[in-house]
Amino acid sequence: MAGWAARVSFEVLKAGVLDTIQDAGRTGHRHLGVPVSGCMDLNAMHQANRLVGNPLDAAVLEITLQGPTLRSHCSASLAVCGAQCEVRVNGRLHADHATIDAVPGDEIQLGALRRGARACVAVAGGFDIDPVLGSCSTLLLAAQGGLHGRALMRGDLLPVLRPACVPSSHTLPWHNLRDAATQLLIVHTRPGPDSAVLPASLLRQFFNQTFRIEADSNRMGYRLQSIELQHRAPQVDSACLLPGTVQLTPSGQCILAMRDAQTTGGYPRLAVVDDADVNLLGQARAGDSLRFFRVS
Amino acid sequence: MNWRLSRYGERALSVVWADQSLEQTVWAEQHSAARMHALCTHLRAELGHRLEDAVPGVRHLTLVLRTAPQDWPALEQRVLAGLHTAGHASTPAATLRLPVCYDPALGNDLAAVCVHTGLTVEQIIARHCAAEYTVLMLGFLPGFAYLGGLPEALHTPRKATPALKVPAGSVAIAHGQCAVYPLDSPGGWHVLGHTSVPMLDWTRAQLTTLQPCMRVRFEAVDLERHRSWLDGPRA
Repeated sequence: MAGWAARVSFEVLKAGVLDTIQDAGRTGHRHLGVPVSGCMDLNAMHQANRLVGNPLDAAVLEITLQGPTLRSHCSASLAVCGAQCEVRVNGRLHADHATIDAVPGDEIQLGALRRGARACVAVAGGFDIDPVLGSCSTLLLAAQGGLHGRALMRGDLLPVLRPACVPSSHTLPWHNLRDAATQLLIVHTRPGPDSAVLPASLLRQFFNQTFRIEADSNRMGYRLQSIELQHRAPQVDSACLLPGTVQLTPSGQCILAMRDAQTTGGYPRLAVVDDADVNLLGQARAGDSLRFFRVS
Repeated sequence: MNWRLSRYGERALSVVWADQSLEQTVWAEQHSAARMHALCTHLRAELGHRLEDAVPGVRHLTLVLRTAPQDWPALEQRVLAGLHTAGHASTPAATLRLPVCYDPALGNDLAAVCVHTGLTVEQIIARHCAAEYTVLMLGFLPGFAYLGGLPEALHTPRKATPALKVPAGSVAIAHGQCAVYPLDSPGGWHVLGHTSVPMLDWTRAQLTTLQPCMRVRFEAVDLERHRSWLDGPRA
């Protein structure tokens, strides 16, 4: 029994910083307070799945800053896309953004990520994860979804549904997501639904400054460091909060909601980042500089 | 009726009921939340697969579409038409009764609420149990229901510094509302007691114990009974 399970899985020899199973997210339950979750960078998920011939929304392993070391117990093609990842197979360096053919016994070391914060690992045939409310995404705060509702730990067996090998002829290009000269992240942004109750000067201040992502930022949201925005905004009712929304706290700090953000928030929603660029934010790390480019 | 529609990002529509005259009373809050809930139900049927989520609040709702609509004006017209035809949510016949243990052994914030309200522990428990509450909306955490109807004598602001861990099952109050924490979580509400009834079941089709517009009452139970219910299924 154990032997069979081990044959069609990857074993975690060493966990990374935060390795979670994610897909396109869990929608349709926001009115019950269930966050959407899903890959921080959906483009990385699509790329990795495309390389191994999976449906683009198939569940992947999202790795953060530093990936895990895995032992393959099956023959299957893998792909790692998103931030640049130092991939070693049995100690030999291997290209990312290309397929990797693993055979039983192989040790796959997913090292430090560069030029970005997250990468997605897809396996041909897909990970074998039971969906919760229609999604395989891990929701850490509720310990639901993914593998046992948590990040991978040493000794975990990550099951594969129908391991397959795909022709490894193509490599996908890696895109530099930042402004080439300044390394700034620039994201397309619109005024938020509560911007009407805030003074117009506040929006101007917001679009005219550079923010820094603070250290205590995670899948739920990023704290942004800037010159304090001066405001005397009225307290607003709790209302729907979408990933990519910038909220303004009473102390004048901006908080950016990300994929695991709570479904409702009680601070004014100052601005909203366009969907495509929320993926770009998913590649941001603490210390990165960020500007919001107004598009409407 | 004064409705304000505004776009929220590329693919969501925010609807606000801006009737200032009704804002302050408990009745108005319940009435408004019931309307929003009814409207969400109506728009889910009306928009079908185009709709990713309909999220009601107390005085507003948000429609999240799967893709950015090419027909905003037509969509806004449909929503406005829905505002007039949706009517009100029918009130559930039964009231859910939740047992609460207010024993200080459970590490609650009753003492702080005594200081703020000037009431004794017994008075707080009596008033908390005497009121009938209505689920206004869910948010913050899966299954976290904002309950309107907290008696005015119990109104207490949030804690200045949130507690790092409020255990699942905590029955807590802040401002004019009451809630039951469905999961262990940081939180700034004052905990009055604990209930043994789980607020979430991920294996059930009905994920959350509390649903929009549901009516709720709390009943005091002693520590012994509370523990026996926590240990095993209720008889």
